[in-house]
Amino acid sequence: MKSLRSRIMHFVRNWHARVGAMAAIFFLLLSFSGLALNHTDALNLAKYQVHTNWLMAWYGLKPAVPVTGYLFKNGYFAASGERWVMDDHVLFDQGLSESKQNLVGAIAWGDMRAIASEDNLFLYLSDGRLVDSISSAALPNTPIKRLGTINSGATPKLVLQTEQGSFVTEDGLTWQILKATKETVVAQPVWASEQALPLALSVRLNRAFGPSLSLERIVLDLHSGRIFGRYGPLLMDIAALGLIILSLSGIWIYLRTVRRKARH
Amino acid sequence: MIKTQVTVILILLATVVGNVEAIEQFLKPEQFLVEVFSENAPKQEVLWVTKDIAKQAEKILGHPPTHLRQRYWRSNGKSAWILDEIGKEEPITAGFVVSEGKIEQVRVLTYRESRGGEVRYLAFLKQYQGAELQVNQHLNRNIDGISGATLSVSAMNRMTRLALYFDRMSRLEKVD
Repeated sequence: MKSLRSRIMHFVRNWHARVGAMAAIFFLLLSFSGLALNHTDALNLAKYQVHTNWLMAWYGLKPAVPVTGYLFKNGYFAASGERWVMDDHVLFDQGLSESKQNLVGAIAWGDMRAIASEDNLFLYLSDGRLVDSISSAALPNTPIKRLGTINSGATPKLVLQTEQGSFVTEDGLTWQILKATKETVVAQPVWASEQALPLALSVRLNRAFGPSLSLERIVLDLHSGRIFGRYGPLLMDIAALGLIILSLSGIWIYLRTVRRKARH
Repeated sequence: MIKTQVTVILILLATVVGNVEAIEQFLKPEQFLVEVFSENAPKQEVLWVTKDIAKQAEKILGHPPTHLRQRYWRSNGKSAWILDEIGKEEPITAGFVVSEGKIEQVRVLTYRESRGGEVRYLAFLKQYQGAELQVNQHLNRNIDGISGATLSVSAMNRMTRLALYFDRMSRLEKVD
C-alpha cells in the first residue's frame, strides 16, 4: 500500500503531464503570436495584407464591390469607402485619408487620368503611377463640384467646376476662369459622370475590392483568442489558468524531488 | 506669448471636440509661401522626376518617390519645396527653403502622428539651417535627435536631403 504522500505525488505528476499536453497547443500559439507581436515593426506585420477568402469569410467580411464608377476609353476607375482602384491597380487602400474623401469624379485627360475629391486633384498615368496630387492650396477654388475636360483645342484642357465658377488648365499648374462666352458653346466641357460598371468587369472588381485584413490584426486576434469567436478569450483564459496550474504543480514536484534527494 | 496661449487653447479645443487622428496643421502652404516670398509668390515650377532622379530620390528616401512631378517655387535665388514623408504611419508635410545649395529654413506645415510632434519646434528645426548635401547624398552635419520622436526626426532628415537634391536637379535643368 502506497503512502498518502506518494499517492498525491503520483496524482500531481499525472495531472501535470495531462494539463501540459492539453494546453501545449495554446501555449505554442500564445508564445509564437506573442513573439511576432513583440517584433511587429521589424516583421512589417501591419503592412502585409491578408486576402485569403475563407479567413475573410470567417471574420464575416464581404467584398464591398462598387456597382458604379467611371469608365475611360480603355479602363475604369471605381471607389469604395476605403479603396480606390483604377484598372486593377489599387491607388489607395485602408481607409481614405483626409485628402481622398468625398470623391467628385474621374476622367481621362490626355494621356493622364484626373481624379478629384472635393479638395484635391490627383493626376495618374494609366499604369497607376501618380504624377501629382494637388491640394486645395494650389487649386483655384474648392470645393470642387464637377470635373471635366475640353478636347476641342490642340491641347486637352481640364476643367474644375466650383461655386466660384469653372476653372480651366492645360498643365494643372496655371488655371484660368472659364468664361461663358459664345465661343465656349463649341467648347463645352465633357463632365465626368458616374455610371454603372459593366458586368464584364465583375470578376476583376471582385478581386480588386476583396476584403483584406492586416496580418497584425490577425496575429493580435490569435493572441487574444478573439479569432475563435465570442468565447475565444475565455478559451485563452482557461489556457492561462492551465499555465498557472502547471507552474504551481511544477514547482511542487521540483521541491518534492529536491527534498527527497536531500533526505537520502 | 498670447499667440502660444491661443494655439494651446485651440489644440485643447480640437482634442476635446474629438480630433482622434490628431492632425495638426501649423501652417498652411500659402502662409508658408508668404513667409518665404512675402506677398509676391512666384509662379509654380515643375521638376519632372525622371528615372535617374527617381533612383537617387529612392536612395535618399529608402522608397521610390511618390510623385512623378514635383512642384516648387523659385525667386531671387531661393527655391521653396513642400514635401510629404511618412514618419511612423502618417505623412508629415514640411516646407523647405533652399538658397545656393544650402537650407535656409525648414518648417513643419502639418503633423499627423500622435507622438513626435516636437519636430515642429524651431529650436529643433534651426539645426538644419545652412545644411548642405554631400556627394554621398547625406547632410554635411549631424542633426541631434529627439527622444521619442526618432522616426519623425528621421523623416525630417530624409525630406531635407530630398529638398536639397531636388533643388540641385532643378538648377541643373535650368542650365540645360
